[in-house]
Amino acid sequence: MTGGSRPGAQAWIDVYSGRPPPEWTLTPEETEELRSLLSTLPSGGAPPPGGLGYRGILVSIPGESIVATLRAGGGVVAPEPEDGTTLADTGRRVERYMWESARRHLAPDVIETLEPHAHLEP
Amino acid sequence: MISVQLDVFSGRPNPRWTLSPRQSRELVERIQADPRVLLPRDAETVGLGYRGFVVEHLSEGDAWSRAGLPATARIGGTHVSGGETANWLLGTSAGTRADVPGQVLEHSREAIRSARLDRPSTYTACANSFYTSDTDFSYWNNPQHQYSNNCYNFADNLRTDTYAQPGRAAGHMYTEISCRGVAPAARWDGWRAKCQTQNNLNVCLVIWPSTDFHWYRLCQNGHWCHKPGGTPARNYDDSGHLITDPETCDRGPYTIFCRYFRGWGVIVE
Repeated sequence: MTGGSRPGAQAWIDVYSGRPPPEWTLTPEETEELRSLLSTLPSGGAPPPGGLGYRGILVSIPGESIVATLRAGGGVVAPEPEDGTTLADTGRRVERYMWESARRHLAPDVIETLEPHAHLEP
Repeated sequence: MISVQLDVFSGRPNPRWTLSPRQSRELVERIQADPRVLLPRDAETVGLGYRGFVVEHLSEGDAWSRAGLPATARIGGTHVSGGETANWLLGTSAGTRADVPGQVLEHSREAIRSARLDRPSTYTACANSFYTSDTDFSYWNNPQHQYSNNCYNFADNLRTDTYAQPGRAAGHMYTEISCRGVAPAARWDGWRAKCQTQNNLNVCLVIWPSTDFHWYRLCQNGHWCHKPGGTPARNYDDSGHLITDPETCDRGPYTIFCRYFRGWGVIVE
């Protein structure tokens, strides 16, 4: 099965408490790029505490038989819900990639309002 | 244009800076949410060190004018915390020409914090109130329902799996993210200021300015609980502390406290 024939992943910025989260569908190419990035991550890292405000980006990736949902935030990629396993997202590469994707798909005012709360400054 | 003066020095001129248009609008929103924050310019405030802020309105035709607020006023003081508005106002000095010295900032923050902690919780729960457990959130925190129910579902203790929105069930969903936008929508759903006869849930509404709303509900043992979006319901704030007062707990970016509501059998959707 080629990357182009698989459906794209669903992503959403996990930031609100009341309003529904901003969400978008990754293109098949973006989804394959994401899979490739994830495959390079070593195990490890502690998930940041969640609470009010920005909590990372959630992404549901269609697989062969199941959909795996992951949370990328604060230098860690972890399954959602958490199962104790984590991947170390050094330099927040996966999270930054998801924000690049978000910028291509979401309205500019949404990005302008929310991205500063991710604190992705170099 | 709003000019802010940190009233802290005895000999030197006090630090002064002006708010940006966005900050000015937020200050107006904060005052409208809790008018008690605004004191007369000459309100009694004594002692050396932090004595609050003096705000001056220097232009016309803006949000401050439209709100009918006085030309000059005080926010916070020696024994009057000013709440988070004082803390937020202190933060607006960052990056301005005021250049408030670090130790003065630290002193002022501590003075604001101490005044807040000294003040007891002002909330009185309804005599006939319904409380769920303040520790067992299993009804909410399971994969089948956690992600489809939000803070408003939790506040109403009603699991609709629709990510409930204030006013939607009544056909009057909010159109503005502010206290004056979301509170009326909640009233349409059935929330009231007064205690209801039959029974009551005690809840409160807070706002992340122009961005989002959040709700808390009073649970057993005097602890307030909440559910941040699709994340698990909990009894602690963003600093990890048990919530005994939603007005002073760490609410992250939900910096505006709107008001308390009571209700029973409120339908949300």
